[in-house]
Amino acid sequence: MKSFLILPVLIILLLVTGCAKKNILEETGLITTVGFDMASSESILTTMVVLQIDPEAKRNVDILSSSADTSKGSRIDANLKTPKELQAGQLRVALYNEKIARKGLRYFADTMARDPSVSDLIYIGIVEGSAHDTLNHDYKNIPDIGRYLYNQFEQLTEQEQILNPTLQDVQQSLYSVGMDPIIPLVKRKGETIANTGSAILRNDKMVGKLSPYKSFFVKLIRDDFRAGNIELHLDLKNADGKNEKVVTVLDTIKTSSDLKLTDPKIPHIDAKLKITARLLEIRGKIDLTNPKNIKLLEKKIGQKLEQDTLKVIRYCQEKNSDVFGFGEVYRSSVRHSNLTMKEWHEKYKNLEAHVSVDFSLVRTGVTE
Amino acid sequence: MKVLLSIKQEYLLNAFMIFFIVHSTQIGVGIQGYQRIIYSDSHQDAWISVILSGLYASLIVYIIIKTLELYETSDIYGIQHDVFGKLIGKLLNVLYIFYSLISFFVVLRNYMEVVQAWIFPEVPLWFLTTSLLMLVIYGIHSGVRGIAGIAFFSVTLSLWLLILIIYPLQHAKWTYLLPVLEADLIPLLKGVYHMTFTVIGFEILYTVYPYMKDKNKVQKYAQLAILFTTCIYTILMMVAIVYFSGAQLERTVWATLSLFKVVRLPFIERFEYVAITFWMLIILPNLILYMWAACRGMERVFTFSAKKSVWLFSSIIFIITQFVISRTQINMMNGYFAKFAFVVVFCYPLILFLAAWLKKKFTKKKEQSV
Repeated sequence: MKSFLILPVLIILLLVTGCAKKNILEETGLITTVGFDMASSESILTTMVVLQIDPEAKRNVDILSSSADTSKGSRIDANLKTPKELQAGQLRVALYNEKIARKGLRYFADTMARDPSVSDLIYIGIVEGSAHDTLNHDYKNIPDIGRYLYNQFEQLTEQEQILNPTLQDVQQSLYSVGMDPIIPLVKRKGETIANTGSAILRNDKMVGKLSPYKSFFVKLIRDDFRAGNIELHLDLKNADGKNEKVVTVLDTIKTSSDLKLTDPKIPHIDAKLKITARLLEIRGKIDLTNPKNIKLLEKKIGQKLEQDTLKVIRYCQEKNSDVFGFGEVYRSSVRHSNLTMKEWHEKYKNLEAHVSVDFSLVRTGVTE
Repeated sequence: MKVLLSIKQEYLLNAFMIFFIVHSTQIGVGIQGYQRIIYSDSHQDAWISVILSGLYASLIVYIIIKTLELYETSDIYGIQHDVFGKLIGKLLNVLYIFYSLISFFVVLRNYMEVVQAWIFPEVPLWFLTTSLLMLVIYGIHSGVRGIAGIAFFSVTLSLWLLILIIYPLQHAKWTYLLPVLEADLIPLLKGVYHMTFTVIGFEILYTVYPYMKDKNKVQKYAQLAILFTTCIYTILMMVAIVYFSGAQLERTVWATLSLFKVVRLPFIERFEYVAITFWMLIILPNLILYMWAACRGMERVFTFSAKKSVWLFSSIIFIITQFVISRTQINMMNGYFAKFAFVVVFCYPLILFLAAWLKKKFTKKKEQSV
């Protein structure tokens, strides 16, 4: 074929690529955070944190809110109130008000996942109180609330103080037969925003709350720690036979959990947890130079962890929320179970769990 | 029509090139989202279905090459002409050209759907079609050796994408793979059947075979290509099973592309956009080879030059793309095409081999008796 025909065509093709729709940074409003509240029984109040690129702007972010019956509908509505085109491609955090979470999050997770411009790695949080107030409050020391929240979530996930709360993780457990989602709770406390534990869900509805301390035990079973930390209160008997309260702080906690279904009928689950940690701090009279005491401490910590794990399991069973993923153990070990979410929640109520902790202190810091 | 071809030495390809040609034709648009379809058949055992489909593909490749070896230097058009006679042979040849064109169209349309759904919903279809068709026409003009080169670079330059599955594996729940072998034989085989759309591509052997230099090595390299493709498919299937929970996977249209959604590099936060645009390099040899197979058929059957027919076919394809617009239409088209491809690629080669073999046997006997 004559190249004189092909060449101009290729050149034209190269040039028309410039005709694709441009998104100029100064002309787009990048939504970094969204918050959802119930405005009435039907409509949703959406609050959006939009990044300000203008250096002369008073605040680094612009807060827009609007109510509509759908979340995308409110984006269209909010677009009426801004000179910039709103884009969700930089969305980092989505917050849901507790009321919405109690009604069900499936729809919200679905609308996030359906939009190809929204990343699967955005963080999901549930707000105690109003999401609008939390985002709209004029914080003294927080110039960019969106960035603040994102950094906080990221930091807490890395420190393993909350379970991985990305959209992907929430979706994974939302659609999983034998596992319910657990989502971190946040709350405005004066001029800061604090993580106040986790919300536990049954299917897609929030049914209960766990304190940050209790959330630790969910992660213990559901996930493995690579470098976690926790403060434990222990009752010890010292050499004189007196009861003494000892507070310990453990860090670089490494865990591995082995869950086995020992009886599918009840069902009975045997959880073997292997935990190693470093003793970071200890308050109370105990002589650490004596290896006997270390052994005792190890035993006591193990028992404490066992007891509290069982307490948290019992609480979640009361709320009928399987955030531990015991259903997944059941499904993967019983052949042809054809387990459904409903069936599992029936069975879960009667579940018996046996937890045994094998705890060992690796080191006790640089002093003894 | 001449049954046997004599191709000039300078046009011949090294046998190892068949590895790249077969592999690049197999990997195309099916890989973007086959997981949920197979998963809905055999659930957590879907990866077994994938392996089984690879085994079956390997058998078919063996049969295809055995058929071609009966004639030494002929392609499917020559063989069909010889075996079934002038009239039926011609009919089947036209049908095969049609099949190649439909494959071309399916690949093209599915890729454009991905581009529109993920990145550019506002870019018109005609624009995307024209740009891809231009590349294809350009590719056809570069001849067989050029096309093989495109296939080679397409494979080698896109291998690095595989490394990125480490990212989704960080979210993996390995228990999703258990219990193994819960699915019965029927769902497993159903999964194999539904893999058709994804594993086909090796039928390109039927048309490129005469261009191979050392034909005794073709079998080895073609089988290696099937092995490599099956490995990739099995790995991606397993990753999808452990990354998504069951119901979630069934809702995910393009699971492989969604896997890229969790790849976050310091300089690129949304990696799936890179993957999707990069995919053009992956489907390009796919498109070019199918178009080439069709044009080659026109040359052989109607002595109509390939360079003319590529323009003719391109204009036809361009017009048809304007009629398949919605997702439901595309899904319907994929469904029909998968059935058609199952017959052409998974069943017909056996019949053709049997017919060619019988024909050879009888003509030999006749020669001996005369």
